[in-house]
Amino acid sequence: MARGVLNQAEVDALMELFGTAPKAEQPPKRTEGVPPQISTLRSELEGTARQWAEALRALTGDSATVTLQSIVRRGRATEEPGNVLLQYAEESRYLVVPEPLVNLVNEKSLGALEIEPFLEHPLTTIDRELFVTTGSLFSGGSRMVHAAQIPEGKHLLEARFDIAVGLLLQTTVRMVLHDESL
Amino acid sequence: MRQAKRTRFIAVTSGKGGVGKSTITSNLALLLSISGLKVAVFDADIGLANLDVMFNVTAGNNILHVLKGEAALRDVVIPVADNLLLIPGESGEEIFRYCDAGMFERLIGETGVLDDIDIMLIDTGAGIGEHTQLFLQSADDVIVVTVPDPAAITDAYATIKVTARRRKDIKMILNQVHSPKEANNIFAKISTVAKTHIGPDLRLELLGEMTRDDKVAYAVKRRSSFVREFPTARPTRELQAIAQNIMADIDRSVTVQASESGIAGLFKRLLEQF
Repeated sequence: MARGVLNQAEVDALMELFGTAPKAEQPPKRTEGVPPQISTLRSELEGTARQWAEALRALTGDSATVTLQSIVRRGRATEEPGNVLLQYAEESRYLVVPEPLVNLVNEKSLGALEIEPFLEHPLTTIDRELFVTTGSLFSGGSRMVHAAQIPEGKHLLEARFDIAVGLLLQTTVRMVLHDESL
Repeated sequence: MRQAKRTRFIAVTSGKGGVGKSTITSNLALLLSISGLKVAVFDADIGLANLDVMFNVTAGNNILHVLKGEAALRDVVIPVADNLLLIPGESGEEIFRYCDAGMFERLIGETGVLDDIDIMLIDTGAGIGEHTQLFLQSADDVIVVTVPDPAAITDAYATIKVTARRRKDIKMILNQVHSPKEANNIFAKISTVAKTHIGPDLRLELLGEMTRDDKVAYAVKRRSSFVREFPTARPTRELQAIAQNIMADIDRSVTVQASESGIAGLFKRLLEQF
């Protein structure tokens, strides 16, 4: 929501509360030896992890910890026939999150879930809402691909978000990005 | 012309959802009513009017039915406790569709039931939407609730910035902080940034803070008020201090025309925004 209303100087100044120096004062990151594509993706994924932590904190009113484990390896994913863009397995509780949903979280629309329905149905509500919202919103995002569509020999960058929201929700949100350059 | 108490309209808003705005509104309303003030809560949370859930009461018709002429105001208003009424709301978009002079005249004739309201808390939707802003511009006081996380703070600041285009007095409640010191630090930073980037004439005030406490979430889950469940808990005492700050500003001896008071007064102000 803040985007378009705040300028970068305001954001930087506010973020000093959290120990984040203004961009202009940050030392340049070392990128030697790391392909720029990986740096970019890693940065994006770390940003996404932070956004999820904030969104979940907003949803639950509870502290949320989102840890990011970036693993570069061959693609391997649970698949649901007929569901190209979303994968959901009850046992392992995987939810593949397409970019539009991340954008939705960024726009705080998911804040509309508020705390009350979540507390009443700590597991099912948020899962269902996320699932339905994701399914209804996704329309051809360019960065999300189904694992089965990736030819053999290509690589996936898989980021696993282990999300623990207090004692109410423990689930795994997995974002799979296909990057042929890796 | 019928006289009525002057109602103090206090809009409670936030930059984003989930920061405890409605919890604070409902519990603050209860504390104010317990102190002897006549309090009404208008649920204007756009698209998510849910104070009836938080108060654990059943809402049938809402304000939209009144505006459409399908229900009388007295049939919509829900007594929640002694001195405390809930006016169930509807999405702002729907409300403003029916917000016209004719509606106002109709409302004036029905508002006797709300003539003696000292304070009306308006629980607005989160964000900087047009309809939320109309409520903020119509209120005597605007309280922005936020929590100490980056997204909430930037969104609260954005709300302050947008609201400050038309009013310069804005109050804040820092919720879920670890200590008053943290609240003061955050407020000082927001205040400094606001003075620099929004303007030196902005009067930002920290109305109070509430420290993080699981008792609040526990009460919310039980659909009860934490100030009742835990009358001596720290968040209750902190909200009592906030209520005291608000009451210090209220002069109950002033009367105005009935059209300026209660729900009619609120809609009159809203109409003036168009």
